[in-house]
Amino acid sequence: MEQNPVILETRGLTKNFGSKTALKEINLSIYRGKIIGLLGPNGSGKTTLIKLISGLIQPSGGEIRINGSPIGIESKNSVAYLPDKSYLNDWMRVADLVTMFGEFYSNFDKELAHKLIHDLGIDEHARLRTLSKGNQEKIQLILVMARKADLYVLDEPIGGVDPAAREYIINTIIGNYNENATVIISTHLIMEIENILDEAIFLKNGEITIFDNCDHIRQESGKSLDGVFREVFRC
Amino acid sequence: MLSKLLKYEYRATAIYFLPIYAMLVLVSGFSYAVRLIGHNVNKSGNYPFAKLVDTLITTFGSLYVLLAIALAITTFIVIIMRFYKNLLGNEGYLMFTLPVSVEENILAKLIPAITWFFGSCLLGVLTVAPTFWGGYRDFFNTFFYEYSVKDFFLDLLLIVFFIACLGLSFLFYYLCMCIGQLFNSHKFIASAAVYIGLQGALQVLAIVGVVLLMSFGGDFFLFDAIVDFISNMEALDGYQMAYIFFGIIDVFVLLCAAGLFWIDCRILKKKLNLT
Repeated sequence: MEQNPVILETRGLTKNFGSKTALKEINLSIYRGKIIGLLGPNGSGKTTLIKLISGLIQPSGGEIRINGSPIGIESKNSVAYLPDKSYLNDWMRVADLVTMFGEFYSNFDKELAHKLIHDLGIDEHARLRTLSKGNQEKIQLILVMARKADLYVLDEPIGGVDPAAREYIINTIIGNYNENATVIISTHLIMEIENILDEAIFLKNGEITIFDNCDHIRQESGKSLDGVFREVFRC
Repeated sequence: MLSKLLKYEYRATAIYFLPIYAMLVLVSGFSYAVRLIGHNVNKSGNYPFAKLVDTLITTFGSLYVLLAIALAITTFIVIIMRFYKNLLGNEGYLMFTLPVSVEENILAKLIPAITWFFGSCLLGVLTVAPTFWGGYRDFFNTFFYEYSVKDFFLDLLLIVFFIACLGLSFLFYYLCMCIGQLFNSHKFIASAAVYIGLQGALQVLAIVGVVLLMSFGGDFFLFDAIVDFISNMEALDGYQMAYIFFGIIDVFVLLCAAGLFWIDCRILKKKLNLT
């Protein structure tokens, strides 16, 4: 079956929390084979957009399509989501978590997961809660990146970790994602990931201010992405 | 996928229940053994030892009651918290991104909840006899005197009623949490408030219903039909009346449970709010 070149499409996507509008009329068409930075300061709507894509919250208006289909069981098998918090059952052993992901996701590569965990030197028989916070985060990342998904949605994967861990995380992302897939990385630490991004989405107060190819953004502005970010979001 | 979800749910909940089950069985076993010893001691006329045996029987009996209370509290807390934490808390980020339906996610909480509650009651029945009756013979003689096939079918209807009521109660708790999660903060407090509000509303509704039926019931065609039905039941024997009564009640409770299940699913499908 021919794959849809547009992996993610949103039309008029709006999300309100009470009287506060978190996202306003977002229109996006995201193609396969890209690494896209979802950039914006805290409270700009990055996590809200990611949760909508993952089906964890429901839109107040508009629609989202993944691979041409609305959010549902099929889209959940296509989207690999990494939240910005611990979301795994911490009483489980690492090996059991690998087995669990393998049982639920048909596109999960167990061998790759075991290899990445082995490379980190983490004991697979250890319960998740006994690992350091940094290693717990790495296990979460490995479980997400070991899926051969169509769309990886990573919420602040390098936020709150030391520089060495950041390097490991970025290498794990670019070394393991399916090349026919798209990776959306939300962050405000632009300098760290600028070099790996193909495209960038700048979100400000729930609205897209820039969505363009990174080289084009740099060419037009004569600045790095980080420089553009500082200019757009100057307080 | 439901079987996989159930497997992980039973594993997650077993760590709370199995240790208490094991302790209940142990205490019951010790109590039974002490009663046996006590029986022989009384025969031999060793009174100081008999006093010690009496003290042990009282201690094990008290321990058993405490464990039973702990089991009841644990059952209630685990059933509520597994739904709240695993579906509506941080773990919900995983559960709602697995390629499973909302129906499967709710059933994977409901079925183990009913199983553990039912299992706890069954274990209670099986361990209470050796602890307080010194064996099953007296216990069965007390409760199953002249037990017939007719009693068995009646008990079957009662068990269905019991399970359906459990399902209905748990789905009601789930409903309160599903509504509570719609709030953007203090979701658990909101769930508790919804529970109190809904319970109050249901009680008011029941009182109003009874008052209306008593005041205007005679004008209702349905009221006449019910009166006719009850009058005709006089021709039936006690068992037949009980079968019809519990059969109707079972269907009614099961329909209510199905309705609540549908509402819970609808809220989590259309209004999931994991913030």
